[in-house]
Amino acid sequence: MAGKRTTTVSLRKLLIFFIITGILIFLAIGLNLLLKVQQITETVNAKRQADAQHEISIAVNKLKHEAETLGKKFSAWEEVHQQLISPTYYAYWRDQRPHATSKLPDYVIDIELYHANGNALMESSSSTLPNPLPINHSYFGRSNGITYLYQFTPVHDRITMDNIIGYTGIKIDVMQALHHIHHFSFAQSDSIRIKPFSGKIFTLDELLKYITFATPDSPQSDKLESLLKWNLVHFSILMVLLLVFIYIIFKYLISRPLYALIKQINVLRRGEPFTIADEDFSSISVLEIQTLQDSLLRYQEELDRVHDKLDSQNIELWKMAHHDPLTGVYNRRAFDEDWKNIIELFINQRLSVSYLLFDCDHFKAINDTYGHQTGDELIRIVAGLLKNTLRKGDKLYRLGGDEFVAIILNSPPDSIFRIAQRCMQMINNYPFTNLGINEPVAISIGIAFADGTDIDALKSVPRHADLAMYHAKKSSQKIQCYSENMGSEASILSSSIVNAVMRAVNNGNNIHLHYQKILRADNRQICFYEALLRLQNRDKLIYPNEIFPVVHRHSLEADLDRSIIKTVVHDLEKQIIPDNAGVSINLSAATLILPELDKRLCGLLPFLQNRQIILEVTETSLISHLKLATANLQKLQQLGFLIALDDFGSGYSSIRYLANMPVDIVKFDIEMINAMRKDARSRQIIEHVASLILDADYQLVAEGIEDQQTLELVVNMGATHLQGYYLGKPCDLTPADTSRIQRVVNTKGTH
Amino acid sequence: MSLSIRHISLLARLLALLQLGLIALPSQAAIIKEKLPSGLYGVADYRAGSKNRPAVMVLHGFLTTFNFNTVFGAIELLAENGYTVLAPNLSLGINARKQGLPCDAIHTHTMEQDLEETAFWVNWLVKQGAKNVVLIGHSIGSLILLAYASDKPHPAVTMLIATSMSFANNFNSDAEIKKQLRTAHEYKTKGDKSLYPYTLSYCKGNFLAPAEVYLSYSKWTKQRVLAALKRIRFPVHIIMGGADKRFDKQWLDQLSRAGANMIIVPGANHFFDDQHEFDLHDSFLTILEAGK
Repeated sequence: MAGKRTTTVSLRKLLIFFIITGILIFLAIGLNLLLKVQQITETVNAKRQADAQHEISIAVNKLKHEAETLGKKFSAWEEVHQQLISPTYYAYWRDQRPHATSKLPDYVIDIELYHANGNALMESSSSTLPNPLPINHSYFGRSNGITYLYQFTPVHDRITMDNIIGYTGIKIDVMQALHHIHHFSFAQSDSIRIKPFSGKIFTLDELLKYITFATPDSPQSDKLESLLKWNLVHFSILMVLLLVFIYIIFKYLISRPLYALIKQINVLRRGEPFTIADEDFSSISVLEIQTLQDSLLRYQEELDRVHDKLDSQNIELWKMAHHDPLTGVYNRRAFDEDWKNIIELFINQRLSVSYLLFDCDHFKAINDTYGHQTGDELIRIVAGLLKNTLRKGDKLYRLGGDEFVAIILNSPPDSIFRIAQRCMQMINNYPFTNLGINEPVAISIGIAFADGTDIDALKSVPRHADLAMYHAKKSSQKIQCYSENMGSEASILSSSIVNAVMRAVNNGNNIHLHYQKILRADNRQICFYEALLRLQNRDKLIYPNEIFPVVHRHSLEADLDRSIIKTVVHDLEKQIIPDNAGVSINLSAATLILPELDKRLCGLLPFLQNRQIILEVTETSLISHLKLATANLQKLQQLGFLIALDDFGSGYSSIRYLANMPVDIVKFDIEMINAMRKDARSRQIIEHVASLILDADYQLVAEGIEDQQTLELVVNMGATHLQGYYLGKPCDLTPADTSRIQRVVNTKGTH
Repeated sequence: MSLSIRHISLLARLLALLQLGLIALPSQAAIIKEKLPSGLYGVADYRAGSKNRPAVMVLHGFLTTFNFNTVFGAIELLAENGYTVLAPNLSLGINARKQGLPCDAIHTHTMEQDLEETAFWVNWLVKQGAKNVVLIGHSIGSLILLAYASDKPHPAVTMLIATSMSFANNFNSDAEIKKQLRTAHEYKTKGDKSLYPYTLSYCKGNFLAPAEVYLSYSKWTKQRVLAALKRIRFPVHIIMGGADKRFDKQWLDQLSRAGANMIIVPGANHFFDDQHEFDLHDSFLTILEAGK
């Protein structure tokens, strides 16, 4: 369809075209009819002329025959014989008797009797007939403008019938006779004329040359022609009037309403209000047009309703799209749009932009501990408090999880800082214990500013706020404004690190595990290796201190654990980890509470046959979702995994959790080891704790052994396993190392 | 097919009766033309009949011919009854005249010429073998035959039957007749041969003729007719129509007194039209049979 060119013609032009075509056809038919009528008339006239000519010929022939008959009758008349025998009273008889007795018709205007010798009966006759008898006994002559037929007939003896006793001569007025003996139908009777001629005419054909005539009007054909012309003219007028009427009707009933509808549709297309002007529509309307108009009106009304509905839905949708359904504050989409607008605004005019980043401390732990419902309620309350604390008109956005942002324009930093303080105070003062949360709920606030027109500075504001937030999280000062000295740690949030983390999460190809050996305290032999995460980023490694802020910020703990487990399985399969040597893997709290954790770890199951596989969990992970974590760990224990409680002594209630947890190994936090070296009291307490743990039949791993003194202390403390830089730094394990270590282990074992 | 003796005998008797003229056979019709003494030819209807019956000469009325109804009917009747019939047309000055002559035609014929032609035809009939000639006339024809019979008729003429017996001026009053006669005599005396219209017989003022012609007919007045009638030596039968308005009763009485055998056909007009023609014919046959 796209390739087909369509020629459009307006309705009015189409109608005019049809009208003109109709007129042309009508004219053509009319002219053709006229032509035909003229042809018929000419044919009829020619026929009439021929018929008239033939009629004249017949009449003249008839006249000739009549003259002969008259002559014979006259010659047979007994009184003619009487006169020929006894012409005493001939003059009287000739003048009186023939006409008195009606023996001869009136058109015989004169007679004469001749003796057998051709002389007239009376020499001094007043007769106009020739004397003596002419040689030709029948001829036409002309005198005084009148044409006569002279007919001479012999008078035979009545007894012998062959002897000619005389002649009769009659003079016939040709025109009078013609009219008398013939009723003219084809030639117009009164139009018959005989043109003057000289001398005598002896043949009828010659006479016919001198006869002129006119054909009478043919009433039928003339009437038919007249009727046709009359009808044609009247029909033409009627046709024109009809066409004009049709045009007017069409224009007022169809064309104008249609154009009005088209105009209104164009109005609709432009999105202007739909109105139908009454003046565009006549009082009489075509049903279809009226239906179309009504349909359009209904359609428009329906469209308006749909439009209104769409508007409200759009508003609702916009609200839904730009508001966080949980808290009612603006969401990430709204933030992105507003931030884009602010950047555009910032380009054109000088602005002071303050960027406040709020984040709940330990929200994930609280959420996991008290459930999502409590967590959601906590987020709702925090959002409400922040929104109420901010000034009217200041927008609060929830970027995700427990992270909120407020962008405040054209306010000085000290004012912004006071706002942040008020927010902090409102949160701190709120009785979250009503939600059943026993732990204190706090927020950290990172603030960054941009002033002027430096667009790069503005674009850096969110990252600066992140850095400030990062510092606030780590600091007791929970409100941190970004400063230049925070820039050195910016790398943790650099895009390259984030990309590396995301690659590790997605496919694990860049995970490069370092293994740090953990020795048995009694024989100093390698018991197992702790897998420590490194990410390969081009030609250098990224370490956990840069990895985990990103992981935590994006809640990628469980996904990252899956990639690490996959890598460990790979290393076990490739025998990078020596046979019979165990391996310990750190699991995050998020992984620990996975409903089907055992399936996540199924790749490790085959290796449990000949080595120990230790799963290290932290106190923090244990306190969140304690029941689920406990259940998962028990299930793993049953599968043959050993559970190690990592960083023991860095949390809140290590002893309480330890008693309830299915733990096989306790790893003292490095801070506890360091504390043993500081004073005797601490060492004594730690040694008692160690004694308690060992008495409870746990294995005890001492981390952070970085020198001989520390080694001796922890050995004395009773640690069953040793770990630290002094004994071995985390490093790559290659198959060669593995072989060498294997030999050492075997050798030492032999000794 | 065989004829018995009885049949042959009947056929012989029939032939004998035919020979005796006791059984009449229709006559053979013929138009004959004979040269008259005037030099003109005369035309006549001739029906040859039985020689044992009288030959009948029938003469037409004034200016008519033998084709006139009354005359022709008589010819047919007589011919059918076996009579030899001769019915001439008087020439009236016209050669071989076959048509009637109108009153206003030019009349140059005279009573004398008519009588001459009558005598010619009687003689012609006798020449044809007629021994007994009966004359039958109608109207002026009766007058001409009467005139002929009263003068010197052929001896073979034995009877005159005059129907609607007329005289010359039967339409005019006596005064008018006298005046017209006087004028005509004056013209004749002066030698004026011009044509004048006269009243003669049924020609009322339009008989166009010279005075001499008129006078030849007009001299046959009632008196002359009655006188002539008395001179005739053979039977004269006069048959008149009882309703003939041309004549008054006095004329009928006068005729009767003149010695003629008068037969009046009641209700008949001058021409015995319609059913009266049968009465006339019956009278003819009766008279002829009686005079046999």
